[in-house]
Amino acid sequence: MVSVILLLPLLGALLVAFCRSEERVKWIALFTTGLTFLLSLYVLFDYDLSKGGFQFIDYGSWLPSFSIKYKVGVDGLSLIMLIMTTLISFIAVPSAWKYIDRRKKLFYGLLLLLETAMIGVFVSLDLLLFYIFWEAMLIPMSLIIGVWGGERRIYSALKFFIYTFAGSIFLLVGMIVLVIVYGSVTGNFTFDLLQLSQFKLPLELQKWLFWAFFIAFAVKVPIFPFHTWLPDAHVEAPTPGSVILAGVLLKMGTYGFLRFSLPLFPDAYKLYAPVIFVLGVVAIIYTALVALVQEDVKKIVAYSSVSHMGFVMIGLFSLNVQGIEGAIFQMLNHGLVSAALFFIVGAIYERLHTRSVNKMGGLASFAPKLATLAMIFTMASIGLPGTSPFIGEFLTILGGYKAAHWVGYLMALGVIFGAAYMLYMYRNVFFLEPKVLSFKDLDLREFLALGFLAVLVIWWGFDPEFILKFVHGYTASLLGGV
Amino acid sequence: MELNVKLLFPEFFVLAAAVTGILVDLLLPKRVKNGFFATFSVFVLFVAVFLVVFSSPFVPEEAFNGFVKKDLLTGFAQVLILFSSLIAVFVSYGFLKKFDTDYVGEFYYTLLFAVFGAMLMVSANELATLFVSLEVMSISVYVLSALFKRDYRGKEAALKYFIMGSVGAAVIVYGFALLYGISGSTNYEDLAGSISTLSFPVLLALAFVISGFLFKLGAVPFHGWVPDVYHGAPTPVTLFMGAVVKVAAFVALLKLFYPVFLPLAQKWGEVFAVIGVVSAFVGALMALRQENVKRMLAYSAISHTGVVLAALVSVPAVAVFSVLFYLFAYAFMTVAAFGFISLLTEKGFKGENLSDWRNLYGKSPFLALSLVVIFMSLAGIPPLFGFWAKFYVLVALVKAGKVGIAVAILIASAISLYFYLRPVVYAFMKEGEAVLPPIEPFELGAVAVTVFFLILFGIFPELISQTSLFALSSFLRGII
Repeated sequence: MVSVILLLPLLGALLVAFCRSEERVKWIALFTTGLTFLLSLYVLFDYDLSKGGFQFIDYGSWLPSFSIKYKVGVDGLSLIMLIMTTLISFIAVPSAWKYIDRRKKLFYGLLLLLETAMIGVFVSLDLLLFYIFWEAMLIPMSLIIGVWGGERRIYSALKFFIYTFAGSIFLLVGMIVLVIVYGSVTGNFTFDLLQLSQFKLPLELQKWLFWAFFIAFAVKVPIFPFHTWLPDAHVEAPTPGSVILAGVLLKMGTYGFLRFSLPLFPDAYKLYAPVIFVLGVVAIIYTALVALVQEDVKKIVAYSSVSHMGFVMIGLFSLNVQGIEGAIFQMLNHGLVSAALFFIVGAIYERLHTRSVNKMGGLASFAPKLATLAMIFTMASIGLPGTSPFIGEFLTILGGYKAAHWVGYLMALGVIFGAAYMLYMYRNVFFLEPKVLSFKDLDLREFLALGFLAVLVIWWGFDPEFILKFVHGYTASLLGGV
Repeated sequence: MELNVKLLFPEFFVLAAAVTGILVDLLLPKRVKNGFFATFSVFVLFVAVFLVVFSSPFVPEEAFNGFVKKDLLTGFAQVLILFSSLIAVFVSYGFLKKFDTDYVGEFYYTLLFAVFGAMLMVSANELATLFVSLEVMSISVYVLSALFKRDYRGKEAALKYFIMGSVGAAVIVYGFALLYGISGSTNYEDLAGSISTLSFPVLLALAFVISGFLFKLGAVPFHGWVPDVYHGAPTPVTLFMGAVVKVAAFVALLKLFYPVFLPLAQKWGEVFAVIGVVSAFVGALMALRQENVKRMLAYSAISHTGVVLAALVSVPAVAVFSVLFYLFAYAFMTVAAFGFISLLTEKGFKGENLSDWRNLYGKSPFLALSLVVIFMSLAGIPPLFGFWAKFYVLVALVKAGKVGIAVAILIASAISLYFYLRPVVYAFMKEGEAVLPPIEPFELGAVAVTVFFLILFGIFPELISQTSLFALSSFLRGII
């Protein structure tokens, strides 16, 4: 089943390639991403909670000479990431509907390829398979930034590509070292994650490998000081690019920490948690302050992403149930909320052709639907009770507090700054004196896409257990092993 | 000892075809020559592939009293050589239509002579045979570079290549002479028996032989000629140089060094590793600012050569395996890349520069997407063929405990990513008009097939791994 979900977008991409009409490709993309989303929902509901662990495993030998396997499957964590990926990809299509006005075939083909690669990252159970998807994703993503992006698109696309690639070379070497050490001790050469995580590495090696993996994941998250590619990439990327970048790509790094670093190098993970706390707190406060002085709406949202990912990182490294569950939940929430915010920014840009806060104002009187939805997502981003990010943020702060009190205090400070820049932006864009003469409200397509996300954000704000129940089993087995 | 002539049947077949080419060339009118000779060469090379596949022995066999020894490693290399030459012929057909020359027949049969030299070179089991075949191949390539009318760049390249290549050959032959002096024989088995420690004459001989090979391979510090020659030579000839000459030289190096200098493997392995890392960096850094794609690919060739050389520091069996796999991938990528450039080249060398590729996607989406596959494969981005080549080299290095070298190579590859992305940037992201000359369907087909292989073997690399493993095990039988 998981393989079908993985390959479906690829099939869609092939269909797009052979489609003759430039207009019909949109519908192919919408249909494919929609079907993929429905299939992933089916997997979600079919997942047996009482059994837990990895399910829907598809297995086949791929490179027998190096015992590299094609092995995919989902557990609670992967499942949530899978749902998030397919959902965001599905939302990305309507966000591109009008924004992408040339080379549509190429765009939707790349988008679908990108979806396959992203799903692959979250469902691979073989280290090398994971790495392949992790890297393969770079080509379509940087093409999307580079072809349809803003003025400095080429610089940003190259920066994104090279930065991520440079980070992941250490991941590749780290993986090979891990596998060869494992092979020399057990006589069994394998890239299988489940077998490798049974193995206890000596602490000295754990430390080295932890940092090798850290660089790759940290660039992707991005953790301060590796975050400089993100504002560039976000600002220059076209709306659907930003939606996917913020919605899914950033979660790959945190997913990597959880899926690989923690089970493979538990001792080093524990040892270096304080370092991550410091980096996380710096990220939360520093980037929030940076966001406070930005004029470009997209930049504000981009910096807010870095800030929010700081919460996730601290939650992950707090190594207690609240922290980790909160972090996973926050990954999902941030995916939904930042995707929605970028969608809104894109919608405004399509109408006004500017992203500067100073040139907007009073949009609420022209576009009540947009203003309402934007209000919901602004509140969600701030972490207002009743929206799902509140649960996530609260749990991560709780986790941070349990790990070290000062972390909790500083994280809470970050929440206040977060409220400051988001409310400031909302006021300048939607209230104050109108600075534009006319402004069209959301059309049906945009309204449905954003409304759907808003419903989810509020639903999960009141019923977080719907998602968290998938995480409980995962966290328990994870922390049992630490 | 017997002659065992039938072992060399594929080589003789190609040689006979080349000689026939000379005779036929006298009889044909000029306008049919290109078509005839291209068909003829394709036919010959196709048949030769089958002959090689069916005649290569798994258990190593000798011929001419041990002057020639064939195993699957030889067969593997010969198939690669023939495949690359096949693509070179397809590409040449289109190229000769675009560029004028009086020597159409000469072009094709000289190419066949070069193929013959390369095929013999990878079967050589004796120093003189190795040297003679090396020269047959090299001299043919010098000639090929200079065959076009009013192509001063090509003639300059030919002369440069000739002078530098001769120096390289002289250095190699000097090393061979010393080896003969040490052991009293030129046969690999006899040589292996008399070399076990690093005495001064052996050291000197080894230094000369290594330097000579580095010349031919174009590795630092003997890489100076590579950019000029790759840039100047007609593109199909560059393709041939990049793929065939490199494969032949590397396989000849494996076949010479592993049996003969095996006791010293640790020592020369380290030399190659140092040179390899330096080459990988020099190539990557120099390529960053190139505007001409052929020149850029020349530097990238230096970089790739460095990576292959570095792999030699590993445990012999693993090293040979990863080198073989890399050569396979590299030959395919080189063929695809230069074939692609040749497709886009027009009179006056238009279409070779990055700026001529602006907005190529707008002109031809298929070509632009092929470009992405080719250059991303060269950069080693999964799931393309080039990634696996890099991956196996890394595995080999880590297995030997050389993690530092592995990291160094990857850093060089991260640097090279920048210039591999530039063609993509030009083809997709820059505004402008690409020049697109009329495209020969055969030429396009040949490039499309190799691009398809880059994807296919990227997704199913097992095919090539198994082939390389077979070749390796057959090769090891001959050593032990």
